[in-house]
Amino acid sequence: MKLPRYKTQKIAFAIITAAGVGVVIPLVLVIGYIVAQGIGALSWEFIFGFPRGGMREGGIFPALVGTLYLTIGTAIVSIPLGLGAGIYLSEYAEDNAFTRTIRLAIINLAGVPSVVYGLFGLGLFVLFLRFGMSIIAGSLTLGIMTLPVMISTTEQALSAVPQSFRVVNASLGGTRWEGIRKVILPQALPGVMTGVILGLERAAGETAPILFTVAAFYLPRLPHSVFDQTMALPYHLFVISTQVPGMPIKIQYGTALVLMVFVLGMNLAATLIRRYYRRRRQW
Amino acid sequence: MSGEAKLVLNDVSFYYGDQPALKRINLHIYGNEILAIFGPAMSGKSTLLRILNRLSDLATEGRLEGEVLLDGKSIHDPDVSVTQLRTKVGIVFAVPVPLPLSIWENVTYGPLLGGRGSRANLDELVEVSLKAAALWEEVKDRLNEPATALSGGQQQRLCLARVLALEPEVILLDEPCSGLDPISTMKVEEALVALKQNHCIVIVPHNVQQASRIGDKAAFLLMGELVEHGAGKQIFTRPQDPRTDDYITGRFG
Amino acid sequence: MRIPALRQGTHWRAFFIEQLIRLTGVSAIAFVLLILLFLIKEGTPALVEVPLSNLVGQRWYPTFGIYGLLPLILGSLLVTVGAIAISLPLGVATAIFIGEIAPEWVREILKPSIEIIAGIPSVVIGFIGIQLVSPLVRQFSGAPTGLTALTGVLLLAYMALPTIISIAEDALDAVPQSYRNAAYALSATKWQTIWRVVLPAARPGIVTAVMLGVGRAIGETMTVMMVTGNAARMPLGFDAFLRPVRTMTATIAAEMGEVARGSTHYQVLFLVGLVLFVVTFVINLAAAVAIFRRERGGGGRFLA
Repeated sequence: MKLPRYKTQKIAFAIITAAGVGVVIPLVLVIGYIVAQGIGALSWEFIFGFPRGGMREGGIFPALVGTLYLTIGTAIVSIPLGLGAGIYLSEYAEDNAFTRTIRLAIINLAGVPSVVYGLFGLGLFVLFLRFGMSIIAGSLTLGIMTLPVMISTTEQALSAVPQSFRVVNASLGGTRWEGIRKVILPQALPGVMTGVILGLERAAGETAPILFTVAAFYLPRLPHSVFDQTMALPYHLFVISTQVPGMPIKIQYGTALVLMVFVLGMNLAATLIRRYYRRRRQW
Repeated sequence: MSGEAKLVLNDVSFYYGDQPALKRINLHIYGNEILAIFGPAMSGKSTLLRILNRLSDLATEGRLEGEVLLDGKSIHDPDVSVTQLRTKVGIVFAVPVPLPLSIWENVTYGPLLGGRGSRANLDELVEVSLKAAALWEEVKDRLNEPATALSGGQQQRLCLARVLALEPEVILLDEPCSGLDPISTMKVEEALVALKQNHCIVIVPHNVQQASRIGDKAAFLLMGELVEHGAGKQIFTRPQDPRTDDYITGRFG
Repeated sequence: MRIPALRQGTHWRAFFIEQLIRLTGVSAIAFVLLILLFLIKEGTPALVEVPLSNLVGQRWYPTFGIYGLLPLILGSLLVTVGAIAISLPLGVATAIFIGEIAPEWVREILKPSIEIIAGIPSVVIGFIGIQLVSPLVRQFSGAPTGLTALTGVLLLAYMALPTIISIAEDALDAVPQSYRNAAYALSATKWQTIWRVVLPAARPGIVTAVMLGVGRAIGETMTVMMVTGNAARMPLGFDAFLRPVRTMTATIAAEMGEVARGSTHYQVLFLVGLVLFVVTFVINLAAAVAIFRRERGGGGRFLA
């Protein structure tokens, strides 16, 4: 005997399952399509060669290198600040209005649209501080954009370490910093590393913040110094898919593929680190 | 038994926010003997211990009144280094917390703080400390293994060794044998009796029997109030306060 | 073996390091203020240069000095509302699926997949939008080109999905099991329990999810720039979704490269940026307050 409410449940569950499964389908299609269409473009020359013929031929090397430089630059800016602030929030901050203000500031920084970061970077680094469009301006902009993620994952990773370790450290005559340095931070390191990698992954894929701060349409050489402009993968993809008529489809998909591999590779690395250290944890 | 008290509490009260945990405690604690502080749960025994090495400072809502003297000097004097105080007055907790390091690293953790001591002459210290904690024989061949691999009783003795490595003057123990099997308990008690020759020991036992077994002196703490204290033998056979008598005989727990 | 002097030496270094750490903690506030400061500095002159009547106009022709912001604001609004209309039910349904129905092995696959969706660069999604989604939209809707608001809506919905799913998931998870048990004890089916007990209980959390999803959608730049056609016209009328549209974000991104520094156009673009900043600030503030009220300390779980 099928009560009407069981029928309702069946239908509801069917819809929900369809939703849950359906969500993954576009992902699979997108990745599959990019791989299928782009893999043909991959070659030694594509990865290590410079664009030629108005970028309709040749490779994407300068964009690849540029993204690498910017990622490193972002890391240099955001890791010390992010780690420091995360340590501060987890280990030193008292529960008062000032701390709440800081947390609020972080949440808001996280929500600022990436193009507004681009404007900010333009206003402060490119123009006011006269760095011009440069790797340093782009890295600073991306770095500040990545800060909230770094801070919050660091704080979470540190908070997850049992409080008892801190008490033991204190009871043996250790200062707060000694405890952090010798026990807490090392234990939180896997979580911190995961967060760092995910943060950098996001920065590597962003276009809007670098539009007015560093990205170059085409450069015949690799950048020499941090005050030079550079090409970058996400911007390159944008340009060749919208600004250059007659761009071979294969190159577009190839560029998209390389960018995806870069980004997903970092995602994979972070996941693997997280899994590996989960198993080895002693608490 | 030395004439001068090692630790003196003068009119010590402690509050968590507005709640009093200890009410005007006056107590002299002497070196080279074991003082057992016993009483029902939530009487302030753990709080009292933690005051002695200022671990109570970690409680953000805590407030202390009165003074605590170590060797005649207040432990709250501005020129007293808290971290150093805690190396002189060490504590072992009820639940053993081995640090996520090797056995060797656990024992040497304290001595290596503050940049003192080099790795070289620490092996001897490790051996001495582990022997005094009655753990050496069981772990001497695996000092580099993670401390978390040890059994509960072994971990607790490791925590004791960890404190001993600091060569403290006072050892505080907060229900160190709760959760341990009788054999481990016996080993810990034997170690403490041996240690009292060179240290001042204050223990919160997890039952009255342990207090009467090893307590040279005893103090009965009830709801934050020090009801009575004195020689162990006297307290457990002929207590002067009826409340002490009731607790010891099990009329309340 | 113990030398007191050495202790004091460590104290100094520890003190220095601790102050440094405190400083980094404050830096977050400093940056928010800095961003606000620069947007105001470069954007408010526009309020002086351009009369208000111009700014609230319905036409955006910067080359002729016409800076009506309405089409841009409405463009952002249209695309955002459309995206949330899709991703809210879809996201909550998926959250229910993950939290209440799916077996463990499905969850193991689904959750990382959603994280991957969140990690896809917006320019790649925009690219796929041009290549795959736009032709489909053109085919099935009869619109002249596939670069329409609808295309943007579809892509944005997908991009906002991970945010909504993960927060809705947390909200559902936070509902005490005792609520469910009570419903079962009254012989409710699983679906009835979810629909009538768990979902309503999770409503505040889901509202938060929507707010953050909205924040995400409003702030998206590259995708909308690549697929919505970039026509700054008022998106009114029934066929608004099938026509091109332009968002505030896309406007900034598209035009900032061509303006002279300090020109009126430049200042108006910064003004648009300021509007975006304030809008997302308010949304995130509301969401943050809602989160703080329910869990003390942190709330940063939703950032990563």
